[in-house]
Amino acid sequence: MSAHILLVEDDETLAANYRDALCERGFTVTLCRDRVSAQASAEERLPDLAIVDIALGDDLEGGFELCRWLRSQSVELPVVFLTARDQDIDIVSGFRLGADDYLTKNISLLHLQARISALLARSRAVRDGSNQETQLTRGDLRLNSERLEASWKSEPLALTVTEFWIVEALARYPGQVRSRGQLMEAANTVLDDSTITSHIKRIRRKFLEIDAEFSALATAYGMGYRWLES
Amino acid sequence: MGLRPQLLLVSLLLLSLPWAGCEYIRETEATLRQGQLLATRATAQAIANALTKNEELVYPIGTRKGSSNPALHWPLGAAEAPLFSDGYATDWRELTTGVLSADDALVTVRAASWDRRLFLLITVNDLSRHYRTPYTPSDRVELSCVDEMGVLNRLAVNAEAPGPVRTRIIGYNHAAGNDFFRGAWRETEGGYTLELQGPLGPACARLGLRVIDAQGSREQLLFDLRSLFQQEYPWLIYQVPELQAWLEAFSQPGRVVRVTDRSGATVGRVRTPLQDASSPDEQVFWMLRWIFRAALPDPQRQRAETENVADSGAAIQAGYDPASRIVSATASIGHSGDALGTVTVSDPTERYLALTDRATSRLLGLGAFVLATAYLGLFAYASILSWRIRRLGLAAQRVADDQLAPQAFPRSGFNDEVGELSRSYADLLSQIGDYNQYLRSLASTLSHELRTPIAIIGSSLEHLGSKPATPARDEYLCRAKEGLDRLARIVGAMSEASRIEDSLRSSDFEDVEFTALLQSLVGAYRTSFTDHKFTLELPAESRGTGMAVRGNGDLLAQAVDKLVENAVSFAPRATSIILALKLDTLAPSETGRGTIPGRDALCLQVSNTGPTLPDALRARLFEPMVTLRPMASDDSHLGLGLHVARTITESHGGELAARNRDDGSGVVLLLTLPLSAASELEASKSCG
Repeated sequence: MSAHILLVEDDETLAANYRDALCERGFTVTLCRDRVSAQASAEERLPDLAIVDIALGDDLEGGFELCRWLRSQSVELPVVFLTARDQDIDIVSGFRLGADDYLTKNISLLHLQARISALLARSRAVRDGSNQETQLTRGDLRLNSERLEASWKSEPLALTVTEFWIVEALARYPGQVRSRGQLMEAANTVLDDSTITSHIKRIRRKFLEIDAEFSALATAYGMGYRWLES
Repeated sequence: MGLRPQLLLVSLLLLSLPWAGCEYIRETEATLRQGQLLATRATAQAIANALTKNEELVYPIGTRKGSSNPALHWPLGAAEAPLFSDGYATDWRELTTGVLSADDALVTVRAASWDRRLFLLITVNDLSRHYRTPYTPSDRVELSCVDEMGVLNRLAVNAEAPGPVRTRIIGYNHAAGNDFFRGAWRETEGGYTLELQGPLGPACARLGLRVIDAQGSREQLLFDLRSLFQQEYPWLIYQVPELQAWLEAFSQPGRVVRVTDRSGATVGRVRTPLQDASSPDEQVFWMLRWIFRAALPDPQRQRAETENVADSGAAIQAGYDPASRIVSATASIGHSGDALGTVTVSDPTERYLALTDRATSRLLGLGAFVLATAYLGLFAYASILSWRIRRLGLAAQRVADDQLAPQAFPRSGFNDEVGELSRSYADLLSQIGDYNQYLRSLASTLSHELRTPIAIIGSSLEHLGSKPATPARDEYLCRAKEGLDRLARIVGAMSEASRIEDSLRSSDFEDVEFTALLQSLVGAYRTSFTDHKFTLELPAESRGTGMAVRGNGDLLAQAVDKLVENAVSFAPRATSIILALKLDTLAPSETGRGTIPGRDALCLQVSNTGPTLPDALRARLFEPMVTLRPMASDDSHLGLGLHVARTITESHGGELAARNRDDGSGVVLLLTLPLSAASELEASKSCG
């Protein structure tokens, strides 16, 4: 059975484009234009994944409200923000509300499709308890690219898809500098440099929460980032 | 020229105040004089009218009225006091009128009058003096007195010896008339002097006088008075005592009243001395007086005023003589066509001049005081005014230099034009501030709004790309994507500035080793900008260490990126871009914008060859949407790069400046950042 995706987007044209792109991938898409109809749709049938715009018509924070409500409905439901807002505060708020990913609208359809697929694969893997070993271990770091799970010193890290892919791209070739472009490619996204920087910052913070001594993620100014093996 | 000197200059107009005062005084003086002229004229008229009715005062000898030939008149000197007829000429010295002498100057006759008395002094040059003896002829003086009726009395004086003499009537050897004239005979070096006195008036209206020299048995006529008066006995013209007494009634200090008869001879003259009416403290110091009178050249003072009035038949002439400062009026006595004489009244104007002098003096003092007060007041006012305007200008300048927030612009509470100006300034500046704020937020707002349509176009194009291909479609699709990418870049750049501000708020500062950061960045630049060479100059004393900056490495790198991108975009191909790092002291900057003075700092100079900065743009270079680039040259530059760099720099307590290279070959951008406390410590350790 094809995955059911709830797409909440107030701009009809854009929503139609996204819907078409997702339908091409074989997903079933329910299109809602505002929070109320989206909640009604989700109550009727909980989707496998929700793509939510933050500003819904006149309701500028409607997406956040919807995300909170969806999270209250299901802890495991992957929620992705797809929005024109690229301010740090919005991104941070989005993640704090339990979003699994935060995409800006300049993402290409191909990348969007890849994200959705990856998220669905992860939730399926978590649900099915599949244990196909796609483990990557670098010192204290462990990465499961099937379930998009990461841990540091055996402590689980709550990384978003983008973050996971960035860490994975860096850790796969320790010591080598990965440029921002390479990291974007790995994360299946098109972001500007400063967004990559804030992603890196968030990743570092998540590691530091577990291990105050964490310093494996180094900045190569002007070039990019690299993973240092202890 | 400042406001103060301008106002002082304008206040020179105040000098017209004393000028006006002087004009007023002058006018007053003229009026006073005019009044005096009228009074004098009226006096002259009154005297003349009175004398017309009492013509015997002018003509005590009625028969003389018929003789109007001045050639037959002998005006006598007017003695101030009775003369002693003692034969000595000492008391005659002051008398100058009434002197007669013949051409041979052998005899000099002087005559004077005092209160109905006639005084004669006859000086004869005659070395052979012959006194009277019964047998021989003697030197003698013969007098002929003609009374008012024309009866002639002949008298002779011949002395028997020097000393008192008397006249005797010739023809009547009669003792009765012997003392008709009496006097004294004195010998002198060259001859003798005879001084006589006799009655004056109806008894002796006309006089004849002959001096006869006896030489042996012969007699010689030395002098005959008639030879000087057309062989006639001259009328004695003297100042009539009755008239004098009558005229006394009109006397005034300084006034001179003169009455002349028909022939013009003075018959009455009263002169009252001018008393010093003003007390000493009212008198003006002579030098001041001189200055006033010289400084107030009264045009009317310089001009004699004369007016002729034919008033009820009697001609009156009144005038002012500026040289002697005397007002005089002349009126004729008698009815028109039958003038008996004239009356002249002269009054000095000194009294009025003294008055005006005092007024001028007071005016000068008062004027000086008023002027000084007005000047001081004006100066103070101008100072306050110019201070207020200067303060306003200074505040505006400070707002323009970003040292002062437009909201903090001092609004004057004064309810005048300058206060109004200040408030208008404040309003204007706050509007400009709002506008600038709007411009700053415009980029982010615009980018936000543009993002959705771009996403629509982008996703539509992607859909189009996945549809079955036709040869032409791919090409146009490709072009559309290209345009869209460009648009997306512009939007990205626009939102970058505002995102930077956001991330500055949320980022944590740590010590960033700036040299390492620079080295790493320059390495990256060498690979990404292959058209240009990069040179990194580090300070010799602390290569690599001790150059930590408190801040966010990513943001600092981004700031340097912007500077280098700017340099690369202006530098011609294959030229080198020099990044020089120096230790510096962060001077308390003029603008004081976000800097902490007195801390050691490092200064990164990014220098490139290329076009220089116009002066006008230098101050605004770091404002958003300001760019030197020609509009069409590059699509994704909106002049936001340097604004981003400045935002980052200032949030790190540093400052960003731009200047042209000294040789004008290009531009240097200077990024100054304070060193972190830790590295300052290290630097001082390494120095110590």
